[in-house]
Amino acid sequence: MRRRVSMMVISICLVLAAAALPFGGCAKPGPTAPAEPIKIGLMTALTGSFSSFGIQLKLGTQTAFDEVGWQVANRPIQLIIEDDQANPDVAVQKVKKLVESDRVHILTGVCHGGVALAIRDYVVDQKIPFVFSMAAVRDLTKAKASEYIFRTSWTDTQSEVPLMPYAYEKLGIHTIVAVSIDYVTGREKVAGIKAAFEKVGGKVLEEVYTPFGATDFSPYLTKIKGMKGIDAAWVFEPGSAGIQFVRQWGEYGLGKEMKLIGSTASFGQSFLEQEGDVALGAVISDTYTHTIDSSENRKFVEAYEKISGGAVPESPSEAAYDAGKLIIEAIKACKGNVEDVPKLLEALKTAKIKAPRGPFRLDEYQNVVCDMLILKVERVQGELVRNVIARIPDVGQDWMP
Amino acid sequence: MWFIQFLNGLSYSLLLFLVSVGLALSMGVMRIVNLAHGSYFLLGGYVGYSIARLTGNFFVAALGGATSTLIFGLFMEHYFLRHLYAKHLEQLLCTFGFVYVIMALTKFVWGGNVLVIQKPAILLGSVDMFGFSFPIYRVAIIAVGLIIAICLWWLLGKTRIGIAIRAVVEDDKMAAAIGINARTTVIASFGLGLLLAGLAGVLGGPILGLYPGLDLEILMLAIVIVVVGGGTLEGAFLGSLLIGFASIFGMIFLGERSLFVAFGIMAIVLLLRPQGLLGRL
Repeated sequence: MRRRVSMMVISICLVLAAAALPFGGCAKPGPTAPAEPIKIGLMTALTGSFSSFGIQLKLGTQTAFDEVGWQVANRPIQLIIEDDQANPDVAVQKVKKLVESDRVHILTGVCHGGVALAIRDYVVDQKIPFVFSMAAVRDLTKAKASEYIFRTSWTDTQSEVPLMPYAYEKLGIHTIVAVSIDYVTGREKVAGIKAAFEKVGGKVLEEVYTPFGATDFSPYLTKIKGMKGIDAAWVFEPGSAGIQFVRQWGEYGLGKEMKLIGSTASFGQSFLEQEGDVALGAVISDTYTHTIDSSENRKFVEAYEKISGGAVPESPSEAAYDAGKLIIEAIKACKGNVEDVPKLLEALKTAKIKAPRGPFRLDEYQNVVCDMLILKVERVQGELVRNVIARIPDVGQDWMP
Repeated sequence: MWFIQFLNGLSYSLLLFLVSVGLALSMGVMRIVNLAHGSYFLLGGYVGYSIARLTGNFFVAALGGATSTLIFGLFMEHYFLRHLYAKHLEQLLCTFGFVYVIMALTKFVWGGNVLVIQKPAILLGSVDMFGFSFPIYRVAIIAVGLIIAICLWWLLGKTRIGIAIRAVVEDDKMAAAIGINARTTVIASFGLGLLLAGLAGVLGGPILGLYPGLDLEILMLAIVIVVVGGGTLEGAFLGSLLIGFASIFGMIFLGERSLFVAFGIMAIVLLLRPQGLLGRL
């Protein structure tokens, strides 16, 4: 009887001791306890046709946190990366995992407009600040704007519209065919450039939409080749589709009568080599090129190249870097207390950073306002690069000529 | 312009033919849909890509891609499918399992990015016709496709093993009754299908690219073609032309995904002629 009682007493003591352990830390406050990490979730496309952009988002974000040694306000930074495959269905699963399972404090990233829209409501409901660093769909910082949503990259029309008055006035292009991949961002871009181009007197004679995921453009290119009276094709074919499109553009003999202008999405620095001479002379608009001549940019390019293994940063990389820096400045402003979400939001809204692209600020919808660069693909010392030929200042998401 | 679009359609159709005739062959002798057929296409393409990068020679890559698919497929048959003979559902599931295995393997080795095989130097450039340009490479695809179609026609119509294959495809019990060795015929037929699928993967590499997901896209198209054609080899040829041209012209007029057009045609054909265009009831 006695032995049984003492067994019970010992068992109860052990259970109480075990239960008390997690609370043991509370009894001993002070610097000896390691600080809880700040968890930042990065959603990006690491596989699929958008992966070339997705990897840039990863590297750009990492460059920003590398700079501060992965620690801000005495708290370590933990970056949790998930591959959304540029697929809205997959993204919804992954964001739930980041929020509910990993319990991230802040989210960033996203390449694809459809993904952004698919997860937007959930993120706002869960009250997690999201600093988008690429997805360009307009609604995110307009019709569906929220105090939890920030964007450091560009909107779909913001980066394209400034090219149109330049093309009309300086390049003598008066009629175009608009070619775009068929999804929400593509359609918005065409609507935007069409409005701007027609405002300055130009005409969009035809619009051609190619299926998402297509890599064989032969029927479309043949169709375009048959069109008459067109000065140039304005093109938005992102990622690997862009490389194929430009190459096939050459194969189907289109460069002879039509000029090539358009979105940087098809003429990223890393694509030019695979596209070859077909891309020469193309004029595009972008927020950033690694050849920008400033000390801030040179520092960024050097740091990025170290992590990327030699690849130069492009606009998605730079936008991701800016997102990272914005987050860092905001964390500093609330002295590491990211759990106080209203304070964190206020800090993100008012943070000031020095961006490699140049002037950088957020508008009232928390979307970036910056200069737009007009770039031309030229051959410099045997290599194809994008050089700045003009700079359009202070372009916000609603900029029109 | 329409002549060029016709050539676009023809080159795409013949590429599809190479894949779907292989599926028709293996379906005919194995009596199941080998769901890994699209994966064979992709695997052959990826291996061809790597060989092309290593050797710089497209033709060696094409040979290597086709051979690697052959080896992989025969391995799959010998160690897995063979033990499930007459257990059709299990065989089907097994091939489906291999789809996932190949998917994971290719993603691990070649990554998630879209890869493009470089065309051979002698097939670069375009020919000018009627003020339009058409890539020489696609002319080569048309030529190769037609040559292979003719060779298959000769092989299956005029040689012993070919006729044995046809016998097994049409009526395997009768074929066994007159002494045709089912095992050799199955291997020969299946192997031929593998070679064609792998070759098509490499040939299609410069045009379609190689990426995760292409295996299932090609599988869908091949199944639709074989069903529309009626399960016979001539049917596969006709089906490829039909689906290939419909997809290309669908893209011109509708800009929709080609799969919608393909499935739409399959539905219509099956409604009007359930045995397929050239199938036997």
